[in-house]
Amino acid sequence: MYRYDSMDTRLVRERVEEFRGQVQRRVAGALSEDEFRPLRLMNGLYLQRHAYMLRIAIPYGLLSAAQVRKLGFVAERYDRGFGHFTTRQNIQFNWIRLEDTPDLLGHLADVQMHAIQTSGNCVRNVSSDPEAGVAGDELLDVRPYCELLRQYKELHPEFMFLPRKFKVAFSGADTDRAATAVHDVGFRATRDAAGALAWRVYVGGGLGRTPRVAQLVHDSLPLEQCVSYLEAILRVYNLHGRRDNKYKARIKILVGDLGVSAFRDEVEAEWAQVPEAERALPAAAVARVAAMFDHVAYDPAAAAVTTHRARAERDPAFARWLRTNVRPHKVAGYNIVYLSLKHPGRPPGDASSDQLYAIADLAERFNHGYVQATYTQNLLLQYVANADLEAVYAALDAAGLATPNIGTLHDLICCPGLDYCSLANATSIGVAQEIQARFDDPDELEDIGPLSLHMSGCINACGHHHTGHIGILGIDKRGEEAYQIAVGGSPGVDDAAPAKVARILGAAVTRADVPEVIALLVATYREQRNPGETFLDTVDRVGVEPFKERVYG
Amino acid sequence: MAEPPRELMILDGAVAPRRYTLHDDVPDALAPQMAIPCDAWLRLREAGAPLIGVGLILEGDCDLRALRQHLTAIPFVALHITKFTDGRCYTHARRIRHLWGYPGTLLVYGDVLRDQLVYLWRVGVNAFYLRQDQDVRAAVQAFSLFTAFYQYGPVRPVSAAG
Repeated sequence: MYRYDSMDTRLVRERVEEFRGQVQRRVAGALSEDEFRPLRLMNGLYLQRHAYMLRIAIPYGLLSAAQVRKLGFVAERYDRGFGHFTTRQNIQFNWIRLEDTPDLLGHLADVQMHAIQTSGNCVRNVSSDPEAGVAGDELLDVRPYCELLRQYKELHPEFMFLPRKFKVAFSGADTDRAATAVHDVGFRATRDAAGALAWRVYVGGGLGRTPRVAQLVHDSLPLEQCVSYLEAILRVYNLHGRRDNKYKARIKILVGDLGVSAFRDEVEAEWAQVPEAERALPAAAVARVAAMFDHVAYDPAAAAVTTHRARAERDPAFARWLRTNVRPHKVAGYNIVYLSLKHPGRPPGDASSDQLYAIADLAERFNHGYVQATYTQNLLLQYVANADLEAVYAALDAAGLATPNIGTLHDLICCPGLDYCSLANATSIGVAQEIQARFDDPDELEDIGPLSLHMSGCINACGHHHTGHIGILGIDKRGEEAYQIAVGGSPGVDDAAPAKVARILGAAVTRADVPEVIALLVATYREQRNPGETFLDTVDRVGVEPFKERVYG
Repeated sequence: MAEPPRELMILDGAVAPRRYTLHDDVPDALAPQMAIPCDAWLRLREAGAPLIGVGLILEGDCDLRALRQHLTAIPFVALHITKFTDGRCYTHARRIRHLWGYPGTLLVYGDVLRDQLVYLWRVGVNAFYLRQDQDVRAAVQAFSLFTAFYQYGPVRPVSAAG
């Protein structure tokens, strides 16, 4: 994990003091709300329905145990005992007082954390494959590049007032677990014609009211040139992105208007102005940062321990948890253990302060002191040895974090909706819980298999409804909450299964009908599926008509 | 005049009397320290006007490409920020100062608040006309808020890795 040196530490501290001054000027009336808004947003502070919400950056989702413990403290001291993990691997707190934020940020700075650029029209937190560094299908550990980009973009003087927000994601594996195709820029590791590692660079993806799948802008960019190439993209966007209409200001609109070929030409022309010697990250800088991520000494004897298999033979609950929540690791004898934050009865993505403390302890005992946040609003431990699986399971179970539902219909992505968000048109959390309650049989969930359900409480699509195998969009229909249902979306898995936008089935349904509609869609899938087919496979093969017919026919 | 005259500016990190005048239209008599719109400046230049000491104004939507060949003849450039959330002039400044190596004064004016000063300074701006209601003397403190940066400084380019 990257460790701050004295300069990183100074910068974060100085940013806290700058923000303290801005808050004081706002409280004293020297800054109007219109002026304060962009300043607080670029430091992660939103004004929501009931209070301020503070979004804290978790660069590429990677946390230390000390950081998790501090988040537990923040939840306890400054919130109502909960934190909410987001699809971009950040965490947000929903009950923050403006006057408390400078001190809160001071506490975060103690553990090398901050809220810099977690909102606002600037380059946001860099997100990545949560299994980076440990995935069996990995070409490249992207975390050093994520960190170098984090440093590059943090308080970058040229790009703090972009036309609109700008999100970057990295994936270094065959399977894209970072939803790169729906980011403003996505970097995916590949091999060039000579077999060397390189980036495929995608641009112009995004959701919201104009969902777009990102397009390929460079097919083999040398690894160390990712920052300078991104700078050229940012410069073109900063100058030419629309500023007259915030709904048309994202880079996806510029790419769409120009066409990706003309956009590429603009970027190349801009890039050509950067002296060639300055295009690559210094090798020493890459090596220094990379060394910080190559830190786990694996035990060659770990694979010989198989006691967990014997336990699974006699304990069906443990066996189910192994099947659903534990993933293979690149090193034999080690496991990637997902912590489910989708416990029925709790808002998806929420963790209590007590859970955060428990997770920090677990990370220290069994995971070399690390915790990783995922795109799907869960957490994972990526270095769990076979010998520790039973103890980890027991601790997670006791903390309410072992619900065996990773990748199932229960593991839904969901925005805060009308409960917190001032933009929302409809409830999300309550509907999510009603759906979870409708499918309360773990055998049935396992039989249904991989199914991503994404739900947003408004068209801004924070719950990524466009990319759910089932997508739900809450709308306001003549003063009543109503829900549009779509099927067949995906954030993209690999070249054979690219990202796509879900197709709406028909007129919006009432909140009370949502769980039954989902049940009808699932029943249709189970009737129509061929052996081995997932929900999405079946939709791809039979189309949306059978589903539409079942719900509306 | 694009901006009403006021007394103070920030120049190279210190408070100083304002010395430039900004003109939306070309005055009958041009004089040093006046700035006129970019297209007018280029037109006069093409026509052979001496333009001694006359600077030019860049708006966010200006295309800078035609400017590069004249850089050495431009005594100062005034960047007009019409709305403080509009970041285009930051890229103009970065391009002129860092990529093209312009040594002259880069001035910003318009909707300029103290919260922008460090960013503007770091893309190469060295002269600031703050918005009318801003306290210029208090704003100068903004330059000492940060002692650490990941990117290039106002003069010294450093690696992206910091």
